[in-house]
Amino acid sequence: MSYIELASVIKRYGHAIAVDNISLTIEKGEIFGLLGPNGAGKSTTIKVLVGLLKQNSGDIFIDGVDIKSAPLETKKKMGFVPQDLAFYDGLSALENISYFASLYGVKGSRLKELTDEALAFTGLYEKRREKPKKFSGGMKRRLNIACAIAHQPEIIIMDEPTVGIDPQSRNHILNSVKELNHRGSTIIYTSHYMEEVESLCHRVGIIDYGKLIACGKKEELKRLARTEEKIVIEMNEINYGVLEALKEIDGVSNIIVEDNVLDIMTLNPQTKIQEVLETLSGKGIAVRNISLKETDLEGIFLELTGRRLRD
Amino acid sequence: MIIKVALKSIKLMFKNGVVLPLLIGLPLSQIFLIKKMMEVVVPSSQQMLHSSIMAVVYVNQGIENTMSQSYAASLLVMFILITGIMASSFLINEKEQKTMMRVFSTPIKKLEYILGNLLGHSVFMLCIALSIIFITKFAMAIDWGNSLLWILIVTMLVIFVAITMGYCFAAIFSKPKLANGIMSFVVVVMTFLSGGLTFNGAFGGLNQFTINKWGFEAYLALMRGESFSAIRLNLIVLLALGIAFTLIAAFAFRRENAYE
Ligand SMILES: Nc1ncnc2c1ncn2[C@@H]1O[C@H](COP(=O)(O)OP(=O)(O)OP(=O)(O)O)[C@@H](O)[C@H]1O
Ligand SMILES: [Mg+2]
Repeated sequence: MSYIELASVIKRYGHAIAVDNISLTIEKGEIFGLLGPNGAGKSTTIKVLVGLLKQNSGDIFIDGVDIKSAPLETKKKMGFVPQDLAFYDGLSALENISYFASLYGVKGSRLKELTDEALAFTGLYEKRREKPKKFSGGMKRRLNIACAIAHQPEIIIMDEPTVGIDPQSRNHILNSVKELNHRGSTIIYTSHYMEEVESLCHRVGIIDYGKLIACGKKEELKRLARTEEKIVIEMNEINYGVLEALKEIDGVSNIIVEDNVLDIMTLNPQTKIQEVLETLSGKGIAVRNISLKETDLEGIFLELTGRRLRD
Repeated sequence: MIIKVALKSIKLMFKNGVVLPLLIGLPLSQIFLIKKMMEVVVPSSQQMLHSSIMAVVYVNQGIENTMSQSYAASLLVMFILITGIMASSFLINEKEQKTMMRVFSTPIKKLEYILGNLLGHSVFMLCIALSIIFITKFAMAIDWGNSLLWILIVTMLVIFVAITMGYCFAAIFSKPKLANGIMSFVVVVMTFLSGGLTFNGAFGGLNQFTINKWGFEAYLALMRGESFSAIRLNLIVLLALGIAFTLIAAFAFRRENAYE
């Protein structure tokens, strides 16, 4: 039996189905990524896992223990970083961390030690006596994490821990996640940023409309895509007439436009470059750069669903 | 666990800068003002003042003392109810700040958590109420009778009712502002209908339906030195109300996503 196991989990809000028959397994020591667009059901899946919601059907086992039959035992193994910031504005950083760790049964000098460690780990030690009201967005995110890891849980579950922060804080957090994993924690990481999941996670589950549409190692997922490469074209300007013309090209399955960059998914990209360039010049568009790139998770999501991960 | 949660809830209350001065300072200054006003009114009752106060003053000479006594009792009950609102808004704040969600993801039972908060808030409210009683007794010569034990019992019962009523709201509402607004309205209306602050009668028996009436009548009886039998009905009513609110709150908190 795997370390964490979800078997046919279904969760409804009233009549709306938010988690639709999800089955997946996570091994000890893994960083598992849960990738999906807004409203896909990531948070709901996680809330069921940490015992905040009860599934309508299906079973979840953590280290062989059913979360329904021994919720306190399984909760004790986990540390949950909620998607929304969740700490007391009226308490200092130190008091917040110490309080939540104490709810996991940590006491006395051990509590102080672990609290200090979590403060240092998240780079908040200098600010430990300050109230989070004065913190920057990145610091608040770090405190949000610190409150979930001080008790040194075996499993750390992070629900979009980097939303709405600057790149520097984000890198800090991503590195912390890797470090926590090195120290032995199994990590479940939710995001709708495919770059994050791609750089961080050993295995990835892609979820859409509550369904797990793909799950496996990154390389395995990439094999799911019909093509392993895409044509990337940078231009000075873009016009939408050209998109239609490009889509006419035989074999082209999808085109992503971002700023002045086109990602063209097509069968046999090498052989299509010529045709693409001709189409562009026929429409009078100047190309600045053209290259072939490996398909990423974004491309896979697009192929599997016909939609983009982010709008 | 329960103790830990209780300590945290007390800490949050004390750390909030406005709560203490508001809950102790306001009632004290009001009682003080009323007492001063009485001293002025009684010698020269021609002065234009609150008509209902005047009426009472004409009817009963030398009532000055009883007036401020009733005011003190009535204000105390009202302020205990207001502390109940505060306690519940702290709990609703936990929903809004998502800390309640985080707490429920830790290995603590929901019941333990609610009881811990209940304990912390009750202790805090008891401190507030006893401070008001002692300060008015020693600094403003309000006579709270000679049975400290019964005063304590009545106070605890009023707190029990106030806090369980607050928790009913806390279980149902997610937005502190809305819940606060509704609860404040309820408390103001009850205080008015109870007649405790206005002395204009019982509103055709409507006062029976206010928590205030059952509370301040008990205090007044104790102030007059009456015995337990005089307040038995009051105690029973308060206890029954508290138990009813407890059941409602317990039921509402059983919701799966009571943390939202
Ligand atoms: N409390 C709720 N009541 C009713 N429906 C809800 C509730 N919470 C979420 N939903 C719905 O369930 C679906 C899944 O929501 P969920 O929050 O799990 O998505 P998500 O993948 O975490 O999205 P996001 O990236 O926006 O956080 C959505 O359609 C959402 O509208
Ligand atoms: Mg979410």
